[in-house]
Amino acid sequence: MRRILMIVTLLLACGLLWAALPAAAQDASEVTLTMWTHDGLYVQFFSARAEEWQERYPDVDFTFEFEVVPSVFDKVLGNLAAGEEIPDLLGIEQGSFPRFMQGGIIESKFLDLTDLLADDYDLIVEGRHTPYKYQGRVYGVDSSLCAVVYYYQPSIFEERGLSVPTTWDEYLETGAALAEEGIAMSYITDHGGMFMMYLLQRGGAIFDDHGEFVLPEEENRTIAIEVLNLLREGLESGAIRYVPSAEVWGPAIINAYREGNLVGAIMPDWYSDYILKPQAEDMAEQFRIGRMPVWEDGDGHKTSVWGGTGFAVAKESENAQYAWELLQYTYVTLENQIKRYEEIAYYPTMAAAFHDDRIVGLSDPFYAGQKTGEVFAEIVDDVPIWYQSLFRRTFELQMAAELAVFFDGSVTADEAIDNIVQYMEDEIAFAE
Amino acid sequence: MVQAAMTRGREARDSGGFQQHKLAPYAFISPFYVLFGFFFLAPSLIALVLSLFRWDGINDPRFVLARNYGRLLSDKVFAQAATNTAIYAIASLLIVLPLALVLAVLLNAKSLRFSNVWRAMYFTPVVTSTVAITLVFQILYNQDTGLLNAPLIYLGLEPIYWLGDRSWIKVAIIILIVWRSTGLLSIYFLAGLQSIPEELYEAASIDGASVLQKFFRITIPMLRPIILFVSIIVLLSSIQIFDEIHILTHGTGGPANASMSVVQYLYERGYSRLRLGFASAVGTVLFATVFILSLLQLQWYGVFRKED
Amino acid sequence: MDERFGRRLGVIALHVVVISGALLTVAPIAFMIYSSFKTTTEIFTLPPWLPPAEWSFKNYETLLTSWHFPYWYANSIIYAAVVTIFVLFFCSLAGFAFAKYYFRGKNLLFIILIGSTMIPFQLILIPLFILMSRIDWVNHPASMIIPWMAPAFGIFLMRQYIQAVPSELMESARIDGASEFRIYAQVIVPLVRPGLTTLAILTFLGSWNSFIWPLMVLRGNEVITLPVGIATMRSQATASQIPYGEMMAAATLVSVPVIVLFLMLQRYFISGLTIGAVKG
Repeated sequence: MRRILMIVTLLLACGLLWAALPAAAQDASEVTLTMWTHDGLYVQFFSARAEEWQERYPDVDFTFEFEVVPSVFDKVLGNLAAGEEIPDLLGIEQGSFPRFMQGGIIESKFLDLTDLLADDYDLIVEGRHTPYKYQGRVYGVDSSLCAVVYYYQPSIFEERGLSVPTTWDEYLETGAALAEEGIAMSYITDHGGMFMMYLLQRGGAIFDDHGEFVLPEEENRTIAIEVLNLLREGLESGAIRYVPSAEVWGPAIINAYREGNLVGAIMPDWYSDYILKPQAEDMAEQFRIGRMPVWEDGDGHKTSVWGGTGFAVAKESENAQYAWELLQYTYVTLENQIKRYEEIAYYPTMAAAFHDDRIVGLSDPFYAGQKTGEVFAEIVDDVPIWYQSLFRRTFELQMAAELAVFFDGSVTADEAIDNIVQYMEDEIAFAE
Repeated sequence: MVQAAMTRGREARDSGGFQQHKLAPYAFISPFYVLFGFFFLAPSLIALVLSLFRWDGINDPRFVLARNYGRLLSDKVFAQAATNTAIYAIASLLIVLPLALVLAVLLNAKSLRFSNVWRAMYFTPVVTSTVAITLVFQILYNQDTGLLNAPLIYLGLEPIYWLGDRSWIKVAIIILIVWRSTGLLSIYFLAGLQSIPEELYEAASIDGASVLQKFFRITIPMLRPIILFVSIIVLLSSIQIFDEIHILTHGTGGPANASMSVVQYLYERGYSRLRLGFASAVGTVLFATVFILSLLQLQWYGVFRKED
Repeated sequence: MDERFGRRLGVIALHVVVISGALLTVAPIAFMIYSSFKTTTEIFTLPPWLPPAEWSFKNYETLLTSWHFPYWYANSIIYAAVVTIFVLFFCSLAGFAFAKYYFRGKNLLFIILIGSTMIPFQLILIPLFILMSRIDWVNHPASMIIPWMAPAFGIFLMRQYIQAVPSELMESARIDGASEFRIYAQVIVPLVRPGLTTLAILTFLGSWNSFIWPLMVLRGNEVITLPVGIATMRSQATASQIPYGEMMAAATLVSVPVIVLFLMLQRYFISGLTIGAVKG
């Protein structure tokens, strides 16, 4: 009896002791910089730059712990709630940025970069600042331009004497012709962000610069309905293929390319090196990059934008200064933005880079030597600006649900917009 | 009965002086209550209180009374998640339970050879890792190249959008549930079957009862306690389903939230958006539902009878 | 058609049904092992039953060399083994008390015990994590072990088994002057070994497969577990190539040893479950 109690007490005591062992003290000249992200390419690029950057501080012995962490945002937010440490540098995927806007966390826990960026602020296109803005201040430096282009296989058009469509009308027409052979021009899924991509190109907006929900306003509503109807027309003729969201990035799509029943995809710049090239090595030289089709009436933009990961610096870290300097060196110099393109193919966010021959003059063997930078140079000045909001994530997730219902024909575009507006208004009222 | 009476008898004899066996049970069960109290009950109570607050985990919590519950009950997505979860639970009870029972009867048949081998095979899904096997099912369900669609494609039929269609995704998840749990549950039934006296069947045979008559007149009534026991396990696990759906749908809840379960709703609409009070309200509603359902079942099952 | 022929037909039908069901059940696992020898492209090529162009252990090689797979494996085994040892002790002890003693408040305590299994884990995820942080157990093996040492399900299960042990054995031990703990250790434990085996397997599996909690509390290749490691592979991998082939190899290495262990112990296991279920 007593023995058991003793055993239990001993065990608990052991556990507590074990837990209380102090961490090894750190030498002042030893600095460990940590970075968490969801994408291994960033680890690769930052590691390479950090090696160069640390030579500025010959007296400091740096250790870089850069890693990919699964469910990284859940983890960071959980750590913040518990008062645990967070990394010095955090790559915040723009879709998750609203989670950090909640309760002003981004302001209280991360460094305001607006003044630190100083003159460099204007070198970066404004559309790459707004996704990381909270109350007018910038908290993240983006990794990529994220401009949208059309990836396609020219042979499918050439064999049939078709030309690459430049407007949406042509796109649907060409698509309808190809659909008769069971070939689709591109694919979509029920993803709120993907819908925003098409909407932004048309000049629509979901939130304004104060994060207010402006979709119900007449102009935005009209555009949203137009975009929905465009997508539905494409789906109905077979020009655009619906793919379940679970399979959008996976091998199923690549196989469809391989079998020649899918021409390509309307996707941002990161699609190239993040999705396409690694999975379709055997299809080298089959793809080209072209402009996204535009609207006939000339309204809207030449391109759209989707995605991005802004790197933020932990305010309370004692290494905040080093972390910022490393970030600045890695992301806010023209030289390294070009290197970023060369090494991990994420397009520069500085407009000036598109005048550099290393961007516009580089021919990509995967695209049969096409100078893909030229396509982006044509559109960089027309990347739509969109604004972040606390309710952005709520919108994207619920919009995905409304899209699924819309795509299968259960509701009209009007009803779909009514439903999402109703839902958003309830959520916004609840948050007050 | 006998044992309880004996224990009580000893208590009477021992009254006065050190009563080791009176204190012993408390000591024996104390580790559970200490650990439960510290690691689970305390956080649960915190969660219960939190459900009346709005809290993002970092700033000060703000008291909002029943507002979280109000939003929850008016949210159509919650209604959807609750319906989906009820569908999983009912499907489990109506499909897995009978299937497991029939399987147990078959595995128990005397004329079945190598029954140990088959039992082991039916049990393998239980021992595979959830994360691993869900990835496998993701490949199996792939609409263009999955094993389940391949025959359809070769027959020239329209492939099924397992993970893209609002109805099929529920079927896909129910198949996964059936696959994972039938084997385990049938082993519980198997155990029950082995305790049914052979004479009952023999007597029925003499009376000319058919196989089906024997099944419904003898097997089912004799297994009633075990059916109830198993149904509690099924209810608990199907109502709290999360991992499988979360991984299978990349945390999205499926097309139009068609596969979202209540726990996934809690995770996505609560934690992911740092609405910890709201998440707690969802959890509290879920707990209350499961608790009441299970107590009813246990009551029926007779667990609280004092003499056991 | 005579009766004997009919009966033989019945026996054949029985075997056909049972065997095809069993094959269907192991099919996804067989498919997983089969796929682990394919490249990712081959996994997603029609028809899915086509064998790989070249049978090779390449996926396994990459898995063991490019990822910290051995670490994850070792961590998973250590956490699961340590938890299992504690669970066996605490649960059998408490199950013994609930099965064989009559004590004040037993029903209430039992309701609490049952009720505790109904707390959705996600409800307490954040409060528990905050608690872990306060006692400095974040990223510490203790968080994977100590809270999980006495699960209610295990106690409930052990109660079922121990009820089947005749009380007379306890009585005679008492008359011989044995302490209550001695009765537990020397009378009860040897008699419920099958039950303990059952509990050991279920506990080991529970820990081995747990996902959300280690994902939350652990970070870094030195401490994370296999399921978290596989999740890392999936997120990290999107950059280069989603390595379904390697993940199938990982899934195989995660599942197969446990299946083999189970096959070795299944005699105890199934008879253990049998006793537990018979005695409601």
